[in-house]
Amino acid sequence: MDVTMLPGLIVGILVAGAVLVGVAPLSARSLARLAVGFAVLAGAASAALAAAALTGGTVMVTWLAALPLGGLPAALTLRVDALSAIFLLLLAVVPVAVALFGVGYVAGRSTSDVRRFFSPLLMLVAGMVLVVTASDWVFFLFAWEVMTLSSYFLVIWEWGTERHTRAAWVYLVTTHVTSSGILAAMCSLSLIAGSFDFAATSAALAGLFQTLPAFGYLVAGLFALGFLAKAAVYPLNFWLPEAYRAAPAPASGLFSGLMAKMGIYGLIRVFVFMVPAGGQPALVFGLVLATLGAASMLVGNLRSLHEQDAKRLVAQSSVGQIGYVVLGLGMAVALSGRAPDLAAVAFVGMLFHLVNHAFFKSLLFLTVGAIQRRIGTFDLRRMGGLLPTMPGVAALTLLGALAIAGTPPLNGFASKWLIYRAAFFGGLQLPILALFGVLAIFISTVSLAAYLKYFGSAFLGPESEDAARAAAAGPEPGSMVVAQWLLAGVCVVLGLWPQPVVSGALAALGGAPNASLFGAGQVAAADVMGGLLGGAGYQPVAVLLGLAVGGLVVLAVWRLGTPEVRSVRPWLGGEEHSVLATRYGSAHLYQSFLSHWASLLTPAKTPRLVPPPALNLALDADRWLFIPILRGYEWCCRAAGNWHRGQFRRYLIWQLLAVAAVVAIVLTFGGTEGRLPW
Amino acid sequence: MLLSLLLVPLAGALLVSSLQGRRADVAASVVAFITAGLALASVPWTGKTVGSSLTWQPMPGFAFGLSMDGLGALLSLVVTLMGLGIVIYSTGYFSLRNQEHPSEDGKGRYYFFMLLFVTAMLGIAMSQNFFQVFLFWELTTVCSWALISHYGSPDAIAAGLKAMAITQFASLFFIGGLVILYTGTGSFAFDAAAKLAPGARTAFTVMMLVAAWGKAAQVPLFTWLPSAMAAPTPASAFLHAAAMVKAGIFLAARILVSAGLLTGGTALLAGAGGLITLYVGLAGYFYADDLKRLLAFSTIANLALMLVGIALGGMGSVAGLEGGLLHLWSHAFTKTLLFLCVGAFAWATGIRSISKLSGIAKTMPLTATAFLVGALGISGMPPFGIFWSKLLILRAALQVGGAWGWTTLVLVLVESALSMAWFLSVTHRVLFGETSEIAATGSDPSPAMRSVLVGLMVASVVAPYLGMPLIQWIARGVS
Repeated sequence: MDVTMLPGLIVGILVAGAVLVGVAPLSARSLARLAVGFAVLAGAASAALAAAALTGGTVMVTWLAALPLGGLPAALTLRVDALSAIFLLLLAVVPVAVALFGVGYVAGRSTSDVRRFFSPLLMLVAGMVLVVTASDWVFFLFAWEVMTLSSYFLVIWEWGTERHTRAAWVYLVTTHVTSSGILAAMCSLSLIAGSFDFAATSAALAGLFQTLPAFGYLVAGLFALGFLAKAAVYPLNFWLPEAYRAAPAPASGLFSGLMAKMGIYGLIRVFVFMVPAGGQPALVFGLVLATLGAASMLVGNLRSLHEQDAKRLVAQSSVGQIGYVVLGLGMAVALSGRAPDLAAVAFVGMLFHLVNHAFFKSLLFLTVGAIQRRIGTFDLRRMGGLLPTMPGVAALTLLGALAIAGTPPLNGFASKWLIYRAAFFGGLQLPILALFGVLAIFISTVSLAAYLKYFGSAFLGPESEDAARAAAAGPEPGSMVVAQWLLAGVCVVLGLWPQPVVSGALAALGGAPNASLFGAGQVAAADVMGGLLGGAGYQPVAVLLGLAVGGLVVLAVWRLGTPEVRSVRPWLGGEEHSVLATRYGSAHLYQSFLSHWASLLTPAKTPRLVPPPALNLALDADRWLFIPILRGYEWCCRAAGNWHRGQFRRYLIWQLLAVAAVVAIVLTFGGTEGRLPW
Repeated sequence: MLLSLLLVPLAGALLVSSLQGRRADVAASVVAFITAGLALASVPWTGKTVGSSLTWQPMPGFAFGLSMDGLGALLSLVVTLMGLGIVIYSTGYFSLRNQEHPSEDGKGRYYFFMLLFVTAMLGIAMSQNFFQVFLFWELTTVCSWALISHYGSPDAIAAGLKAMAITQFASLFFIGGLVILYTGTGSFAFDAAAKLAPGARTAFTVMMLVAAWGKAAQVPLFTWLPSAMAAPTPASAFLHAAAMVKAGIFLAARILVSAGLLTGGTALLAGAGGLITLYVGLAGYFYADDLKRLLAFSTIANLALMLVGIALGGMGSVAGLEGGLLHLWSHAFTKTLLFLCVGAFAWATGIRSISKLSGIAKTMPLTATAFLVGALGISGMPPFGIFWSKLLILRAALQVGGAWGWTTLVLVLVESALSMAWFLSVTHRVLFGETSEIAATGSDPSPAMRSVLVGLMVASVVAPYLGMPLIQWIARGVS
């Protein structure tokens, strides 16, 4: 089959799936299976398309050369380059895992609930596929909003809860409002370029930076507004925790794992592919992005540490991890042209971390979903002692937690390592980057602490009352287990074998117009992970061996050197207490540390719109305009009526006066020839 | 052909007026169906104006005939298609099961004025000169007066009178414009207006614009529209989404498209009026507790956006004219959908109050879905039609550029964001959350009403693709 048919096939499969799941008269169970089938088919096609693009070069497809909208020089064109291909690979795997997990997650719900879960889910994936392949801004924005809208329907999945509908409202309004930045920017560029095509608008933006720099900054800034909000970068992260909490857990996994990444995709397209590399604008925007990334990292992870709600904890950590990605992107943009090889390292680290985050964050959301399915709550204070009942989920949670915190030899370390290196060596060029590097290392400890809190509170310690119900809910269905292990497996494989992603990221960078300023072509994949730039290289296998030896040593010391442990019930003041009552729970952890950061922990209050009553009066034009006019008119009528009272004398006077007036006029103006003057 | 398009609804109106009950429903539906079919058949898809050979010229300058160009076709389709949907919906609405107005009386009268309204609007669409437009224009005023006062309550009668008084006041300006035109050129033809002396031309354009403002409920002549919500809901839908108010927009578009006026200073006036009304309409949202009142203000704001687009067209941006007309077209479907949903809520529960309804999605899932689709559509979210018209208008604003273009862009974007936020918040309050006691009594309406809702849901997505060929044809004629 011709490779150019693949995009249409993928989108066709997904849309057909969404429609079928929406209307087919099947049982809830069959609907869920049907949806997974469509997700798998689309995933296979996406993988095929990505493979074709990575091996055979960019795939260009034109569906419609000109939209039937006269005043709009837009087209339905797609362009799948290496960058798109990497995102397509993510889109091939994560949705399949999420849909598989969803089958178990929605089991037991009504048919309409199942429809409302899977139908928008498939539409969301279709929207994302189009976002990463579109090469025309109108088409892109259309796909972008379809994606937003589908995800909105997932956020209001449980619409009976006020809290969820509020979250959905904030989410949709925020993303829709900020996407008008993208709209204004693309319209401006299209008027200069004469089309909405990516390449043409890219040239237009470059020209704009030459001729009207201020306007160029404005346009690029407007783009950034829309993309940063979608990626939930601080300070546009306020919508995220509640929206992710409201959505069903697998959907949250998809949001955090993939949808937020669409914002990063947009940022890459604008700041790496459109803003001229190496110049003043690149430096300014690079530093702004790096700063925002660092701020997100800090705020997101600290808030995550502060959370008592498992799902919000994982959601807040998304903001933090996206911070790493944006920091990497900012560094790559800022260092372009100044230190091309470091720019390449930063870019690869950024893209690698993005890929990793897609897997471990989805995995963590799925584990939260698994716990919620068992005990019906997200509250960490009500969890505890789940390890004996859910050993598999506990292992996966720990794996995800270690991966996200950047513990070798898992994938999170490999990508963070690159970001750290780019930051420290980039500090030689732009000193602030070194500071960000220090912050990044510090913050990864905080994220580890947050996840250990989650792990400890949920799985370790004595069994809480809610957790006691876990066994009754029964073990996870096979589909849920497979979905989680699939994601976990990728985390391990990418940690031990990072080369394919690194090469892919370099290939993606090679597609940028000024790739050489980013070091593409000069830097080989082996150099990125290896000892280039004087820094230490990263050899996962060696690290793994070292860790294994270290582990054995610790074990030996433990076995040989620790005296026998005696367990007794906790006691205080001579009295014994219950294990639950004396537990050092999640609410008590890290209090003294967090108290130093209190100002960062609570988001700014969103203003509430209270319309002033005076405006309502002003709007009531009847009251101050039409009714006075009516009254005035009535008054005039009455006044005129006063002259007309039916008294004979009065009419006689009017007649006399009129005759006198006529005579006066004739005498005054009368001509000599007996004619009136007009 | 065109004459039959005019005579069928007229004859139908006369026929239905004497019928009652089921017979009236069936007869009105059949007439509306035939009219819609005739309209679809007479639309000149090929892009050539269809003219009727029948022309009657009783005295010099006064000519009567029918023709259908792109603009007329656009309006004809809006009126007949919405008319068909609303008549079908009305057959279910006027029933004893209606919790708000459980009555089947006066059906004949209702359908009579409804079909007469369709006739009048078709007359406006197919007229060949301003005088003929004026005659049908006045007929629509009469019909709207009758429909608004339909229930005969003191409120309804006052509202009908108010609508009549204000639109009549605006019509005086129409007459003024006609006098200027006739004394200046001795003709009422559309293209004659271009031959007026410059001063007279401006006066004529401003007069026509004021007339259009009155009909389209623009500042300061907008207060009749929120009061007109006393009408039966399907009639409100017809008046405020398809018929009455769109006549005003049509007049503005007509003087731009066919007479080449509404450029320069007058376009600026129309644009400024539109922007002011946009915000007045928006402000009205915040105080509306009645869902219909909210929709009324939303209509005012959307009509303003159409005028903003047409004014941008007058400033030289074809995209602006296209956007304005596409907005007229897409808005018709989406707003009708919203009105009919509110009608269904009230039909089932007897209540239209935002503060009393909540969680209605539980008991009326289909209507709730339709309302959500309408709310997202009216907010300009893709894939709904209004996204495209807003995009065209915004691009036109940038194309016109300068201080005016940027002001328009920013004001439209801000309004669009605020109105979306409010509209969606209301939608959430009504549809979601805990089901209120009143909402718990609801259930999806009768099959006839449901089918109309489903049809309109589909239409609010696909409408722009159907209307765009006509609009492009209109735009080509201008550029």
